[in-house]
Amino acid sequence: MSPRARGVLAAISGLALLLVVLAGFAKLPDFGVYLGPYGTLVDELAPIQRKIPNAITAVNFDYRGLDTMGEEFILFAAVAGLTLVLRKDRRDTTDAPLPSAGLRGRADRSDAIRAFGLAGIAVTIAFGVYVAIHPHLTPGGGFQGGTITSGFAALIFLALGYRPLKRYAPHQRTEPIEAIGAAGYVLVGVATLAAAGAFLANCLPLGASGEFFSTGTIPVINLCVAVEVVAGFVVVFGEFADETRFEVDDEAEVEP
Amino acid sequence: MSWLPYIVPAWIFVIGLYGMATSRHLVHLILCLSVTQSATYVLILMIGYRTGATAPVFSDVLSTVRATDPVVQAVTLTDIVVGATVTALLLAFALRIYKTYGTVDPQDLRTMQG
Amino acid sequence: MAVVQGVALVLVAVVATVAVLVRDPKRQIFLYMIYGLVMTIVLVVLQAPDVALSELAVGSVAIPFAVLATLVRMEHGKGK
Repeated sequence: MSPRARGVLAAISGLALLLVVLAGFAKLPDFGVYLGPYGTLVDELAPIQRKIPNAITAVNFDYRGLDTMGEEFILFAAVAGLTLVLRKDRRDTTDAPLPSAGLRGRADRSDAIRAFGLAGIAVTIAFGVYVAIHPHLTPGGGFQGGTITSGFAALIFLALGYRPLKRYAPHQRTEPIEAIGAAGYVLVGVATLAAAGAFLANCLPLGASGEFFSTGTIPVINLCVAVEVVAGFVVVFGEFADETRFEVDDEAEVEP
Repeated sequence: MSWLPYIVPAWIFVIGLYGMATSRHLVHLILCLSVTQSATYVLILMIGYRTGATAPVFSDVLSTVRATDPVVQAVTLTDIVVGATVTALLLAFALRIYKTYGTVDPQDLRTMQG
Repeated sequence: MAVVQGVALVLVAVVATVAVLVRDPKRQIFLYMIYGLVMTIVLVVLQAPDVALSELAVGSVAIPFAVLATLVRMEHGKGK
């Protein structure tokens, strides 16, 4: 099928799909009218039952903690699949860093890039950890804060280079950390199963609302998720950074 | 104007699908898939919205004020991060295809050979 | 429905259309980052701060880095 015919067919089918979807949406309640009972119940009960100001975190890590465990393991499996696919046809073994492409070293990065990069790494880690560690008090959490914090690996690669990234975040160090984060979630669940009879039951003391050590197992689970997300994304960045090491063509310009 | 909030996610979904169907570069296709996924985020958050409501975080307000639905926000925020990781996995697949076949045009990758 | 919500929703639809219709991946990355930013604004306007934090981190850091590394390999590598 020629590209032009394919485009026309895609446009016609897309228009038909749009009409069908809008016909389905016509039965939904108006924008701003929320009819479901579950959300209203959680909003009323979460600050009282779990002494937590952030109802979203209560849903994520307490009321629907099993779903979040599933999501975390999707992330884990995707990272594992990515490393499997990208390492399959590298010529060296995966334990040695690949040879650097070209001969450009540290001196080729301007001082401004390195200075701003280093400052950016400090700010990123500080802000990311701040967002990640107290979701039971303010908006935040392991997923968001973990992704923000993992930006330090991208900043190291861009500001300092490939070899510093492999020195500070080698995959031999980040992969066990990711596994610890993923396993920690399950171990918390098993521990609460042994202690209280239900998987991921909130059985630690609840404390007072607004305190850091409050709401039971929620900060513990959140810490496991944060560790896993940070390490997962650093592994992903490391693998993609490895992909930029390749043999160059004669005069092609390559950014190390 | 009550039809505008619901036409936007439908439009984003369909235009993302159109981009995927007529794509000539695998990376363009993957980014269009990411755009299509984000249409569902907008839709589900609009279903959970309540007029005149605030975010369901009660650090500074009483817990009896009108708040939006926290359940849909909880599932959406994990979904975004997991969707990013799956997009990275798809990019790894695209690299693999490039290394094996030498082309990144999905309309040239017709048959699976051997 | 408030004006700011309507404007944000229209904007996200327009930016999504443009991000899809730009065919060159090197240019599409910037459109995708702008799309992430506009999507973050929509999520804040819909009173979802946690989701907005997620979208901001993902759309600015994680995806563009992976796409750029993939494009570097595809465009400058020796093909196989």
